[in-house]
Amino acid sequence: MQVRIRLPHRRVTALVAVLTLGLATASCGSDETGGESGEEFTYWSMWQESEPQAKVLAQAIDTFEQDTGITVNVEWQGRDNITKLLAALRTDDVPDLVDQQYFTISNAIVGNDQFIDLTDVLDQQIPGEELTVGDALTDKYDMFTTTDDGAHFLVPYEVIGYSIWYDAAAMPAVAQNPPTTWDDFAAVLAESKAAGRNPLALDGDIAGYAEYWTATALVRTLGAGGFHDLVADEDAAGWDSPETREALTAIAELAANDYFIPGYDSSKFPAIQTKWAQGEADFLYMGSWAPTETGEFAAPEFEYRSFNFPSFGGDESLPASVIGFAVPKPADQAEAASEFIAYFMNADRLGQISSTANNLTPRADIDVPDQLADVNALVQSQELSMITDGVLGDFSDFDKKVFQPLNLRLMTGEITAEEFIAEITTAQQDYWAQQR
Amino acid sequence: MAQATVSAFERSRRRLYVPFLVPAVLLYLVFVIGPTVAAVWISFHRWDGVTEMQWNGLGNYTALLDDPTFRTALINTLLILVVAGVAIFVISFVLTMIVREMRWRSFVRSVLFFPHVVSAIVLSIIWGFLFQHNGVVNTILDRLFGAEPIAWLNADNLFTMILIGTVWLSTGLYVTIIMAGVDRIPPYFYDEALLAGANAVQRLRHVTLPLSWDVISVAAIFWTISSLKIFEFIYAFGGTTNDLPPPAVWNSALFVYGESFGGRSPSYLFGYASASAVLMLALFAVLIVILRRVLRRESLEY
Repeated sequence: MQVRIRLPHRRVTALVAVLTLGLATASCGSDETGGESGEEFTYWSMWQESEPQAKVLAQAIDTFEQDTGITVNVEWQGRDNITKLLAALRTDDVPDLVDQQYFTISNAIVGNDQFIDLTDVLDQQIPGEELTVGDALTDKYDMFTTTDDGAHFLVPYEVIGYSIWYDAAAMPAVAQNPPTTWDDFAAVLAESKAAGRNPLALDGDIAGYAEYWTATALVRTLGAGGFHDLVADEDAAGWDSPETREALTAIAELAANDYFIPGYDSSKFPAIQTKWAQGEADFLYMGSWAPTETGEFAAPEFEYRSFNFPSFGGDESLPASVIGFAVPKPADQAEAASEFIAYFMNADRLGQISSTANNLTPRADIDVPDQLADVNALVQSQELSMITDGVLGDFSDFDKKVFQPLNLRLMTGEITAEEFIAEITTAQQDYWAQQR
Repeated sequence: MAQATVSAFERSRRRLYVPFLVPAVLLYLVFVIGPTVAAVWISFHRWDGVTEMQWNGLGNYTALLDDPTFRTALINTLLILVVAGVAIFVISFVLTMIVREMRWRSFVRSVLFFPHVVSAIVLSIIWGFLFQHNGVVNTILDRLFGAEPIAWLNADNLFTMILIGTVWLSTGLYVTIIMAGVDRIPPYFYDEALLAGANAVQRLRHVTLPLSWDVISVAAIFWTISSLKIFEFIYAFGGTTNDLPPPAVWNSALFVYGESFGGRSPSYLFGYASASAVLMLALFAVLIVILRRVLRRESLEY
């Protein structure tokens, strides 16, 4: 292992750089040396204290402290915890444990080798159970949590599956026979439109939500990894193909047929998904957090069901993502942090992510909330693919500056599939030329 | 003053400057000059914020000029400076002229200043509610005229709305500054002008403008500097909790954020982001020098 000596002047440079970019408040002091009570570690959480996941974790931290005598200095930092980690990596004030979606972690600390390989954690026995962490998690989620070299940079504790949501109480026919192919789906949408309803909901001001549609359609026609490969190609040669054309045309037709609810391009999130929950639109393509996020606006009789994004004849994978723990390389208390990871994987504690926070966990033996039964069945039965085919994580700059704006124009009917192909080919060539 | 004539009191008073000055200079060096110099240094590198910086010479700068997103951000920044700036100053003068002769002018002044006091984040959220598809404005238009909802916030209109919002947010401050300048003008100049038969525009041109010119030029410089720094209104109005606004409405400040820490999956291109910040700093320094020369007038005593 290469030992990196961090010189003080570089810490100053790092600090100064952070200040320059206007984030003077980024680093938060936390690593006080507690002393007498023995071991302790610092955890920068992606949750805010009021969120259900934070409550579940806080409860586990309490019992962990009682059971092991290890003190956990937890900071409920919210979603920019990894940004703060990045700023802290060149200081002495680095947390021992962080959590986030896999691509946020990999984007920040994997490419630059700033993580600790957690393979050892997988071999640890789960406190209170007869099996190891690796046994409990299986290798189903390794595609999200391992590097190309097979190192585990993440131990997942929450799974997100992306599926098309609808109210089964309002649409019993769909519930009985959910569409599996794009043609079936198109027929359902046409029927809904003909009946005077709004077939689709989409908060278009979140470019990432719009991207789910196009990215998944491309994965369906090209296979998992196909969209990723298209974007990685500096010549952008792959866009002009029958497969991409099929996917993009299908997406363009959604706008051309006015399937999206009026105002989807000019509202503020979460206005449109709220309308969907209130029955003003039929389908919403969203992660498995959809029921918790929209529940308070839905009628009591609203019955959350969902089906997999329809197939174009080939790929039937379920787009997914995981949230998990990671340990930054400079962490002083990696051992204690690892111990907590294994401790939290206990079915009773991890089960709270399902029973209290209403989300899916990576353990197949934990009961899931009723609302997530469909998507859980898909998680268990289907091959998984990365949401946005991994493009958001691996090519984030290209994604937000080139793909997402063009995709939004495609999905608002401003450009056709052909125009999209022509524009993205040039824009992608220019982008990569500029990167060189 | 000759050295010999300096009194003991004067000497000790001068010595006293040092302890008062040093903390401020140090703070300024550490928090302003230092980061600026560091940004210039970082801008010549490729840097992900963690690993060793790699020398990239002028690579970031040439890449910026080829980057359509940066060109858009640059144009947007200049549009805010010029279009919103002209609107702010025109509206400020009109309001100054109107409010000057009103009865409850200090109350009106407070009302006009109000948007500047409230956080831009709060206002951007309110604007979102007002102008979204089924927001207050579209509802009122529907009730009054039966109008179809207008897509105020779609990709085509969003930047215009940001310009209008910026004007609305900033005008109160400039009305207050300009009004303070205008209030110093002795009323007999206006009486004189009225007796000479000058209309409102002539009074503005021959009395108000020349006699408050120093205030106006300071306000213009002030607007130039603050327009470069506009960030939170665009960020909160155009984006959501985790997402940046669409790149089509980025200004240079958002570009810096978008290329470094911003978004669900940040770009972490610190060298590139620093280069854009340095380029904008240089451009605006030049603009301010030009502006100061253009606005320079003999200051009038009255």
